[in-house]
Amino acid sequence: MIKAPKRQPLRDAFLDRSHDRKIFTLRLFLLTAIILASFIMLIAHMYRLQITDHSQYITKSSRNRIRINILPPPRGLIYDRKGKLLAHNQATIRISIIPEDTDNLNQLLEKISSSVPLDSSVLKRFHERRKMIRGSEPVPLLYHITDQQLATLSVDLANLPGVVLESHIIRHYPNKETMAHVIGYVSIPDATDLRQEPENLHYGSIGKQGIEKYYDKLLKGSVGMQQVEVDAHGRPVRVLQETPPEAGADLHLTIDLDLQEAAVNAMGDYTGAAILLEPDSGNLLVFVSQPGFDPNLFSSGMKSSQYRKLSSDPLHPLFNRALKGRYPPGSIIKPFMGLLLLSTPEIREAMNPRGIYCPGHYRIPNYKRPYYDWKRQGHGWTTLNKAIEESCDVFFYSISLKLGIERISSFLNLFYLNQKTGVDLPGEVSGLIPSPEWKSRRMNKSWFPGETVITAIGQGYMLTTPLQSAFATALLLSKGKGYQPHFLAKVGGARKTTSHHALPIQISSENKIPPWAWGQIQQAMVNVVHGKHGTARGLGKELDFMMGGKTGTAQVVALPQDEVKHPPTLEDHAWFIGFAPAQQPEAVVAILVEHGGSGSKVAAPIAGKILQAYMKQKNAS
Amino acid sequence: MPRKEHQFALDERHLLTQVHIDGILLFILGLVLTSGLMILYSASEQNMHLVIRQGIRAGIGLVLMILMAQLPTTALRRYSPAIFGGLLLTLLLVLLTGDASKGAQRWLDLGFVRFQPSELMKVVLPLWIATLLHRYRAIIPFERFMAAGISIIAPVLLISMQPDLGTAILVGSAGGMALFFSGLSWRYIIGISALGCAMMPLGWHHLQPYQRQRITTFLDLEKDPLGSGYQILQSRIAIGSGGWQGKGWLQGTQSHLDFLPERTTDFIFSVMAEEWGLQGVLALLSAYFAIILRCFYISMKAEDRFDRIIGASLTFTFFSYLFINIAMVTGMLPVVGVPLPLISYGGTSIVTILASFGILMSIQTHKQRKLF
Repeated sequence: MIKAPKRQPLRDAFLDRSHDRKIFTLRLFLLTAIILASFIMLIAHMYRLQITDHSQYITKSSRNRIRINILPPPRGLIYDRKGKLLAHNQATIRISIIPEDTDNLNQLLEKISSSVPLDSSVLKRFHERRKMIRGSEPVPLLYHITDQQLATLSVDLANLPGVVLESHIIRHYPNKETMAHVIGYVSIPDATDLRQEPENLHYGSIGKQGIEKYYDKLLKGSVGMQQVEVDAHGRPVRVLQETPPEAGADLHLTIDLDLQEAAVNAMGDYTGAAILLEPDSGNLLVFVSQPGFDPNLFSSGMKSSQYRKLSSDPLHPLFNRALKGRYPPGSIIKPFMGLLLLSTPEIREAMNPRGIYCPGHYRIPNYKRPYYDWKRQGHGWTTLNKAIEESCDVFFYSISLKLGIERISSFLNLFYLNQKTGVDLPGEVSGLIPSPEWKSRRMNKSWFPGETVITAIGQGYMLTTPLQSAFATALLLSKGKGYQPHFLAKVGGARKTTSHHALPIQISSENKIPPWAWGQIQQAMVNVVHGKHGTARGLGKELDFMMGGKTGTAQVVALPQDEVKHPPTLEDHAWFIGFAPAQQPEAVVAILVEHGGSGSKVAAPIAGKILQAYMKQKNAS
Repeated sequence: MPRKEHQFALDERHLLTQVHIDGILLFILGLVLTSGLMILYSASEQNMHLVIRQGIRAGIGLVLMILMAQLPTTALRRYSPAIFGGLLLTLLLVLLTGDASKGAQRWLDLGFVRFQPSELMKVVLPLWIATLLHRYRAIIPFERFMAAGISIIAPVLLISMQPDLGTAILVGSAGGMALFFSGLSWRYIIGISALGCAMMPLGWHHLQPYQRQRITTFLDLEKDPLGSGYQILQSRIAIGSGGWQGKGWLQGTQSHLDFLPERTTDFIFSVMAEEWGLQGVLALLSAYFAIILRCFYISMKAEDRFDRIIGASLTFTFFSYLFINIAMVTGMLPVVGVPLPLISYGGTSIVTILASFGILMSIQTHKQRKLF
């Protein structure tokens, strides 16, 4: 309750009021005095700081400069599955400039260029960097200099104020081209990288391709920092604070350097891809894309002329064919089509026990156009096993229309042929299994029966990558159960190592694939190599072990059937998928030779050599 | 003729008074604000973007000041219970949901604007205390005194829990000043001070570790030259190396080489002292002192008791800002995080300070209109 003040006579009120006012005024004067005293105190204190002790503070101030030194962490090392080094760090010297300590930057750069050539890309990078780094800190100019250039510069250093030589780590890849498409490479972060992640400025190099990029976060570690007090000449006086860098984790891969080398040798001068995958684990032991390139060029910042040469090479050495190349699979799709036939009882059981008669060509009922078999004289009566062994086209033409494109495309989808495998490399692309729905969506056209016919032999719109082909084959031989293909085996930190657990993959059991069907297809593929009429029987004769496989010769363009002369870029792609040992497959290979011609003549021998190396290694251990 | 001239001058004054603006105060404020933006330009490493933002805030503050000056103080008295109650609730809200900035929950995010309700409390608390007590002449009834006491303690506790010790002290002293100018008897004043001293060891226990560290650091600067004492040491080097003349605008070496953390906010005085020297410091302090004297003059001349109380308390709050800040950056007081009024970068403080000058202008100009 607020009580209203009692009304007082005017005189009292006036007296009281003036009394009250007196109190207020008195207190206000008191406070003013206190405030004045405070101001005097402040001024006295400021006088002492700024006048009495001025000389002492001015010395301190000129001596007192702080520099932050970034301590980059060593990048994690990369090993193959036997512990052989695939990527490591080498110490070198780099030239840096502290802009604040120079009088005339352009003049200085000119002086430097008299002893070390500076090309325009180097200068561009330097100026980009300079904008992001404080003037009192060194800005890297050149990352890689020869010993002789270093010697001339060191002599001149006294005449080059602001130039500092800093120790620096660069990435080195001892295996050069052999591992290029697996390991990828690192490079000095460019303007784009810095925009994406300003933190990248402090790292000497960041992953740009392959394993280096995919596992960049693990490999790069974390930056340390050192706060150093320096004198007016930039000499460190004392370390104020230090956070040590944390080294990146080491990676142990599933890749096998010896087998990889064997595969590169087997590929010889061919352009293409070779993959070896263990179906029981998803481990990738061989992953070759030919031609390769030297990743060391990237890590030390190559000249723009070198880059132009690499990127304009007609063979596209920077292109990872094993991961990103999309090719029509050709006949290597036949074992999968065979499995589909065995899984479709109504069609399988309605077939003539002698199989299908192959006269060398096939006609769709009511259509005129013949679809030819590769063997123009025909295979005669052909069962499924014979159709795979001899790669009879007519057999698959004729079952394709009975199966229908919908069934074919949904079955092939099960084997990851229409999606990415999820391998641990950046930039994987998916193949393509066409369907009428896809065609109407993509081209706004309806599907023709003829397209079903050629899809059955892996031609037409169908495309797969070498990796997908290898993975699909692995799933085929492990009866639909497997692991996602991967490279990472173990991550080794400073203190502990953790094993990588691959994602298990199982083909959905809704598609009733009879358990015996897997074995039948596997046997048919063994016959391709070891059978009397197998398309790769030439390979079988040279082997000291049993293996299976399937050849494929994929047309690049539909050439008139009797035209013999054509340019090499229109030559067929040669495929081979294979496995060994024949009965208990432990390794699956997929070989693609771009424009190599016949799968049996070109691709199969390469697969044989790689599997031979694998078996030899296995028997030795 | 001379008579006419005089008449003209009176008219001129009358014009400013009509729009409720105190010319003297506006002039000094304008001077300080302008030099403040110049100092900020240098302290922010010539970041024009930042300076423009602060300029806009100062502009908003000036507009608010003029608006406040239009409002007769009787309106403030009428609405102060609601404003105080609302703000107290907001403080509670900030504590529960506020946006943590640098480990302390001080900010309330309204979507379009983020502000610190605790800053506003420095103005609102004296208004409320004056509303409570202005009717009573020298003797204040005990229940009123208790109500005022609780009104001071509640926001101080809430703000110190954020934790923001600096603002809590400022809010507490603003409320205390209002009590003091309401004519609280000396017996109470001495009693409260004695109780305060006795409670100090208890308060020590409730301080956050970083707050304790700041106080121990303050007591022995050189003991920890790399930790929190480092800031003060560097600030002193900056100020001391400025000398009489200063190193010149934009020429401060200390301030531009990253020693002074918060050099656009709490430590902006050090930047100014380094670049403008003792002469600049004296000029700034004179301007501040002139503002205080003008405001005290306005309060003293005020007819209404309520006006006198709020006028004097708000002026004292302004003084405590600048005194604590300067004492802090020169190492006379521990680091508590109080901005330099009208100069430090930051929105809420500049706007509330200018608004409180609007109240003072209203006290001055409304009274005069009544007289003529």
